[in-house]
Amino acid sequence: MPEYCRLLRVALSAGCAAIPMAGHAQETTSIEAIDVASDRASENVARTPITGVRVDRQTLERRQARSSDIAELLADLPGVSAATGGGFSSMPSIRGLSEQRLTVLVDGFAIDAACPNDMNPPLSYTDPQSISSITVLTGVAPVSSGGDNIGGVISVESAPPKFAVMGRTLVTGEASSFYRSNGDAFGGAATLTVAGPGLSATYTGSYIRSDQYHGGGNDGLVRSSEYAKTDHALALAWQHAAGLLRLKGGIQSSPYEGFPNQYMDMVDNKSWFVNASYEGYFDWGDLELKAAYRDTDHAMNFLEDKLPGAMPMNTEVHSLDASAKVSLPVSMHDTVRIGSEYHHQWLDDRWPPVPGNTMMGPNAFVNINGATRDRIGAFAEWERHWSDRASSVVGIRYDRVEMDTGTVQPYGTGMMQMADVMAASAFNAAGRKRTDNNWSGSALFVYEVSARAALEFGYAHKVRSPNIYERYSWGRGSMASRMIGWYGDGNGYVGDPDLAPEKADTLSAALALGGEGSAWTLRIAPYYTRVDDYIDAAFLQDLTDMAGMPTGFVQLRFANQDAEFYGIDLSGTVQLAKGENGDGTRLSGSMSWLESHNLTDGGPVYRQMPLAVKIGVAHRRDALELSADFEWVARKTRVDATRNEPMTAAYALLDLGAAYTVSGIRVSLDVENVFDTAYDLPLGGVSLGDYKATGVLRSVPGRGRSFNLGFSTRF
Amino acid sequence: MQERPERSTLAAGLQSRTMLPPAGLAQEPPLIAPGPAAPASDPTPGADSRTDDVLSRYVDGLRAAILRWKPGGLRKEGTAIVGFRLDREGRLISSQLVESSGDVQIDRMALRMVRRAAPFRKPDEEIPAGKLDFVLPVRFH
Repeated sequence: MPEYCRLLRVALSAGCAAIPMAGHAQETTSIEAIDVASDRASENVARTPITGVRVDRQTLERRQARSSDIAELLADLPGVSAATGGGFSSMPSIRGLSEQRLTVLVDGFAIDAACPNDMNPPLSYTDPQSISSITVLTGVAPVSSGGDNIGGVISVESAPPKFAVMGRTLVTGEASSFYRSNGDAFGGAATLTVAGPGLSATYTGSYIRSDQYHGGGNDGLVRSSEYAKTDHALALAWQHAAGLLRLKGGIQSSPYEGFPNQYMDMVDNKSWFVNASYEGYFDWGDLELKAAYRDTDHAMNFLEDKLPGAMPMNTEVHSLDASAKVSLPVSMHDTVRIGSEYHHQWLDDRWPPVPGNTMMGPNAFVNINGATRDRIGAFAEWERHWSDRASSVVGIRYDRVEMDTGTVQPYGTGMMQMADVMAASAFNAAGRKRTDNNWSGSALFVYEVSARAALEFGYAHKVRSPNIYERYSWGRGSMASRMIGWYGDGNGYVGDPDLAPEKADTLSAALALGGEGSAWTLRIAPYYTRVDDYIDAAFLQDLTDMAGMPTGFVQLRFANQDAEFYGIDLSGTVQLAKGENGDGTRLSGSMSWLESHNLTDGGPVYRQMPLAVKIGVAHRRDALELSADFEWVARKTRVDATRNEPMTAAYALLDLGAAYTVSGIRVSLDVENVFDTAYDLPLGGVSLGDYKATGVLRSVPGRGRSFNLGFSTRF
Repeated sequence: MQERPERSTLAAGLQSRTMLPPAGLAQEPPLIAPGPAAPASDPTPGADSRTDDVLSRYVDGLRAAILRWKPGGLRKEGTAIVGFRLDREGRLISSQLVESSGDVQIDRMALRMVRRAAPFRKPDEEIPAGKLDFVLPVRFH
């Protein structure tokens, strides 16, 4: 009988009771509810279940007071690091591959860089305060996740639509603000949704600003590290019987963002966008249609720390993006996905003359004259679930990239401008149109050995065409070339229209032990990537000062070389104590080890993170949250000699945090870098803002101690 | 990636429309859980338990056939209730949403599972045609 009672309860809770159907003479037979779980590794093969990580709103809420830079926050994940840019413009790197080698999507759309220094990478258009989730695929990503990349995927979802239950109106939202003592930074954000059952409107807005921060110990002020920006976006969604239509528009305005490791600062960045997407779910399969347009006006000059002087540089970019994808469940075990994408980028980059300056005048310097980069791609992918435990995704894709640009001109034709005069005439005389036909493929296999152990294997061959600046930067003068590059190394870069696309072969494996409900988890993920025609740099000449003496900086030309990257990412958790409603104490740890080789010159590849170990303890009891995070980073000795990359010393940092939620308001206080340890950022580059002011060249220091206060609430 | 706050629970929603009080069910127990609940207004009171057995076995088969079409990795939470009717050959005559999850993707995936799983095995002779109307909750989590 007890068994019967239990079954009855199950039956009742599953709705196992006769339900009269209106207008039917006959009665209805109820079937026990079917559960469709999404947490099993083999179900998620298309999302790289073991090497993929999803950072949710709750985690971001805990971290948003610490940094306004998404890439910096993502560097907490094993295999991910951040190369320093401005205060909200770090460039993410996954397993040694950075920048445009990765696919970075915001609400499913790619955002083109619009700057010769990549001051506005895609993640700079996002704010940790107003993002709902971030998915990071560090391993082999299926070809359906995007083309024209050779590395992992970062996908940011800002505000998914919410709808009300039938007959009601939903009004919900979130508000937050923060203050950081180091840099006197503050900001705030609000999200507001008003929705019925079919229609939903969401506004998100955020504001951040910061002065220059101080390094730890005696590192003092880190010049050119201030920033400010405002984001507004409005999203509309309409849900009908078989699909979901979304429309979104937004604008970002950043009046200033200092770049400690660049000669220039951003003095204005305005970007607006509209996008639309339709997702339809039919009996034959899913249909997804997307279109987007973005317009960016980007201006560079000097902020206060790099004065006196002036050197305006203006970049304008228009991007159009359109795609169509279908997903066909062809049998109970097989799904076929096919899709096509089109992406158009138009980029213009001009440097107006500086009155009274003989070097920078009398004409405008035309750095890039209306360059276009058009990509059309198509893919086919087959997902198969071989059994309850084993599944695979295999796909191929083709991308055709066509690039062209107009003629260029130097500031003038004086003797001092001769290097640029000759370079411009050679550039204008040569054919500049290039077309690449790129074939990529990926294969992933997931096998659940048991409920507590799962394996993932992946292989991918991926191809990325050079970007506009890699192909079409042409200035050979010292100053013109030092305006190009996103490396933060002070060196000058010259493009090469003849660059070939990068071709990468990646092998990735992962083992996940433990699992949900288990007292511990462990993930072990080794990988190996070989890149043929990796776009690195070859030495052209030493850069000299007015007296003809070497400055220590060099002029380099983008060049195809071969490179390999291998390493291992480890991460794990141990539940030390467990209470109810998520209460408990959890120990977590991770370790990332990576080594890279430039196979052409025999040295290490530039800007690679040394061994990093992180250990954290998080405790939660009712409304109280406590945390302690320790990070140790090894000395960086593997440096790129071509770029005169500086070594950095080992360091250890401790952060402490406490938060309390009262009346629905979460108040947090974090102490970052508790011991005010002085350290150099391993991927920080050289501190050019400080160099201009002090004449002493140093690596960019990390932030010293900061007391971070955060408030957030939901309604 | 939709969320659906403020949703009444499925159980509460269903119980408000349940024809019988739970006590009535308890007195006339189905032999196995997924089987049909015998309503008090059963037109053939005392219908032989063999029919119930056959029906519950058939329902088990239906459930298993539909479950095979479950989509992978949706990563959404919600429950859609699907109603459908079969003919004497096991063919799907009609299928519709009885209760929406509030998320169109979940609703459509639940419907698709039933529609793609059809046609089903021919129902046994013993099962009266009046019992070939089914209701099935599909829970995504």
